[in-house]
Amino acid sequence: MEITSIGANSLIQQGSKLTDAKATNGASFGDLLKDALKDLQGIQAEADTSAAKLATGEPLDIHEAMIAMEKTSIAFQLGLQVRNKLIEAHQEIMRMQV
Amino acid sequence: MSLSSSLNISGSALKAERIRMDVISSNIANAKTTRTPGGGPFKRQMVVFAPEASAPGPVDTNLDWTKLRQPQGVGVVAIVEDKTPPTIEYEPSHPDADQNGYVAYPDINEVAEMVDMMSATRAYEANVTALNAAKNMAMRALEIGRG
Repeated sequence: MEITSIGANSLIQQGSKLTDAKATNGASFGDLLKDALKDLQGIQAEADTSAAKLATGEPLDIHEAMIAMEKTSIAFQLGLQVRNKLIEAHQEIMRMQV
Repeated sequence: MSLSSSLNISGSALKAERIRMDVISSNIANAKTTRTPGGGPFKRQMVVFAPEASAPGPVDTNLDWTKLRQPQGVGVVAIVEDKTPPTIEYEPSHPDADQNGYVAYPDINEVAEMVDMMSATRAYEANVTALNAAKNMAMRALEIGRG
C-alpha cells in the first residue's frame, strides 16, 4: 500500500483559489452596488419628469409613469437581494477557520 | 413571460380604458350638440378594441411560441360614429331648426352612457388589480431563500 504524503502544494493551491473567489466577489459586489444606485436614480428621475409634466400640463399617462416606476423599483429590489446573497456568501467564507 | 411584458399587458388595457372613458365623457358632454363643423348634430362615438401584442417585451424562449398563442394586450383600433339617425324634435324657436321647425338632436341616452362609464371604471380598476397581482408575484419570487 502506497502512502502518499500530504502535499503542502495542493493545500496552498486550494487556499489561493478561495482568495481568488473572494476577489471576484468583491469586484462584482461593487458593480452590483453601482447598478442598484443607478436603479434608484432612475426611479427618482422618472418621478421628477412625471411631476414636472403634471405641473406644466403636458399630456401625461399617469399609469405609464407608475408602471415605469414599479419596474425600476422591482429591478432595484432584485439588486438588493443579490447584494444580500453575496454578503452572506462572503461572510460564510470569512467564517472558515484557516 | 417576462415581468416587463406582463406589466405592459395591463398597461395597454389601462390606456384603452382611459380612451374609452374619454369617448364616453365626450358623448355625455355633447348630448345636446346640434351643430357640428361637418353639418348636422353630433354623432355618438364608440371605441373599437382589438388585441395587440404587448409592446416590446422579451419573449420567454423556453416555451415554443409557434404552437402557443402569446398573451396579448389590448389596443384601440378605431373610434367610429354611431349610424343610428338623430332624434327629431319639434322646436321652432331653436336657432338650428329647419324650415318646418324640427331640430335634430344627437341620439345619446345619458343613462346608457352612465352605465358604460361604470363599466369602464370597473374595467380600469380590474386591470390595476391584475397589474398589482403580477407585481406581487415578482416580489414574492424575491423572497425565495429567505428564512
